[in-house]
Amino acid sequence: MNTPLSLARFFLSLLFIILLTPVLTMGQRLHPKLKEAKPGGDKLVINRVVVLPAQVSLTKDGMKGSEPLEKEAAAATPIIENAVAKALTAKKLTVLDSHFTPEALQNDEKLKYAAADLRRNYDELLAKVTKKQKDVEKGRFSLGDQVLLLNQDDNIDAFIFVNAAGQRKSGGKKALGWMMLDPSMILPTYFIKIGIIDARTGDALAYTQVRTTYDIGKEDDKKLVDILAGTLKKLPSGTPAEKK
Amino acid sequence: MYKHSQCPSLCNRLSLRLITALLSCFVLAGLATAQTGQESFSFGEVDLELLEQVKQQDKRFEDQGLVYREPQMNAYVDRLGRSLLKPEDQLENIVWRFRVMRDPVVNAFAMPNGSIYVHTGLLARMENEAQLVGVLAHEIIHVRNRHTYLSYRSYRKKMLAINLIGLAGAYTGMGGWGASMVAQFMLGISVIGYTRELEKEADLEGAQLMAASPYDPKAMVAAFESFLHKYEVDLHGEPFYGDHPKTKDRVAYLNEWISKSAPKRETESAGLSKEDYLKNASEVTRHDIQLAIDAGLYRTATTLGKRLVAAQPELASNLTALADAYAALGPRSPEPLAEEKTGQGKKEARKRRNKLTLQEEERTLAATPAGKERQTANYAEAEKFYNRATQLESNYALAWRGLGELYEKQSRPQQSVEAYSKYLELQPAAMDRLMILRRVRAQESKTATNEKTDK
Repeated sequence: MNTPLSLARFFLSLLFIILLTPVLTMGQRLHPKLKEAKPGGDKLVINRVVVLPAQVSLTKDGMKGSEPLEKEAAAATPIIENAVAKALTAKKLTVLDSHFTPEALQNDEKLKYAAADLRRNYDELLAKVTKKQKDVEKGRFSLGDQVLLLNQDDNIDAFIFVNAAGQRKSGGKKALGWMMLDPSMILPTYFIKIGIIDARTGDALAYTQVRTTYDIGKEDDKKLVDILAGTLKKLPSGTPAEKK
Repeated sequence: MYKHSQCPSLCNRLSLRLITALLSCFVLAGLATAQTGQESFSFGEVDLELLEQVKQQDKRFEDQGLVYREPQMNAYVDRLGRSLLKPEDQLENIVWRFRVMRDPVVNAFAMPNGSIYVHTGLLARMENEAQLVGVLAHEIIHVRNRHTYLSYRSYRKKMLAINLIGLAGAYTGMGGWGASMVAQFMLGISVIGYTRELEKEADLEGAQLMAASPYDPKAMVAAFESFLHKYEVDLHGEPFYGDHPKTKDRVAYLNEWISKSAPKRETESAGLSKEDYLKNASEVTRHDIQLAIDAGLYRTATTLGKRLVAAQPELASNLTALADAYAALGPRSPEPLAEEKTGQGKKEARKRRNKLTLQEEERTLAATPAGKERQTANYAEAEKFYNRATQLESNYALAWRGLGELYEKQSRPQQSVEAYSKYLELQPAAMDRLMILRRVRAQESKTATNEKTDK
């Protein structure tokens, strides 16, 4: 009689602990050709990367439901992109200036469409990747050679796709959370997913995701850089970009 | 003093009463909003906040390359939308903008700041101008009657009720918890129900708007009826109780209004020519075909391509678009087969779509004898249309690129190299130059291997 109750209590406690964990890296998956990479060796080594415009969505969860935070998301986007760039630089990768920012694409409709289509296809693929993350290690996922549309000078090794979704809590919701002892109503939650795509073949080279309760939104966010560096721990370090 | 065992039941009764009282208050408040909302609208703090968020969203669509910028099509949609506006539609915090969104899904939507977006998928699906005007009329009513603000206000009230009821439920026994769940469910349903009411209002007032214009409101009905015709296997179907009324119901109440209340038309209705509309929409349809192919909507792409070719059979761009669709269709039939429409068929298709990538799905289908047969037939159709395009316009580069891709798929490396080379010769500065050059190299090495094997 007691076993189901104990089990339920155990799982509830586990859930409670998970919800309270400030940073939770949920898998770092590498493509086989990257897994065996060695600087100076035959296998693939990523050196030059471009961080594509991040897809960031933020909402505020309050007593009166969820509301979009479009302005805050727009403000958080460069912060997240910079943090990803810094985390990659820490892995000795050269992060090139992106030619795919909205400002840069303003006068090039074709390239803007190509970037948008690639992002759409990536998001489509991401849904499959998140379901079967382990298959990244089997080299199962690819966007195809259409990635070359954004790599016309052939000087980019990989594109970095970032998706971030966050939920902030209003004061009322936090109070409700305390009354109901539900940490999911108290703490902000952010999910950040990073996909590294071969800029020549379109193969998904690496995928990692992290959940954090740390509130993102500060300029030059050192803590965020540390979190992201932690999620990219398994990624092989690059070699200086000049040796391309 | 109560006996210990009596307390929970009293608590439950109290909480039940509390839950019922809260539920009644909020439902009545919601109804009050629904009834008074349309007459006069004054902006509150929450509405202005929402407006700011929406403006930002508008900018995001633009920044992310989701807006179709082709000037002619945009001018066309804008002209049609503005033709329905009256001087009194210059309302506070509304800047009317009619825009096209690059999305193959058949849809349109309105934002409370006056931005109305029509998907390329809808533009490609409409049969004439009047049908498109019908959709625009519906969206204009959403903006004019401030539907987004009203439904957001209603949603906030109901969510507050849901949260408070949830709290009350958490502090009571099973009875209170059960009652709170039922109450929350009912409130959830009423959020959807209110949105449905607003949709119906937009339909009926939109039809009235059309009736007062040179366009016939019957075209709105025809537009909705066209949504019922699915080009793809409908994997999800209409929800049992969604935020829009069921399409069949919309058609029925609109027809009823037209037969009973619509004013008799004395002049001929405008915008009914299919040919004129297709000419106006041919470029956006070709663009949508590429988007549909990218999204795995191969049958939609093929049907739209056929429609283009039927309207303008001597246009190389149309023939190429249809050929692209056939090449992408691969091992699938151009229309859903009877077995795909059954429950089991849909289940399998859903499973495939959820589990497999588009490339894997194609390989799986092509591995079956029927798939192989269909693939051969579709590739043959594609080749026929590409060839026809190059015969009509030998310098039409995209047809050569398509041929190159097709031959690559058919393992005909030498012909693939020739077609790709022709493409690069015609468009030496093409954006996909590097991609094509790499493919050429790969095909050339295949040819060399084949020759070695032959020797």
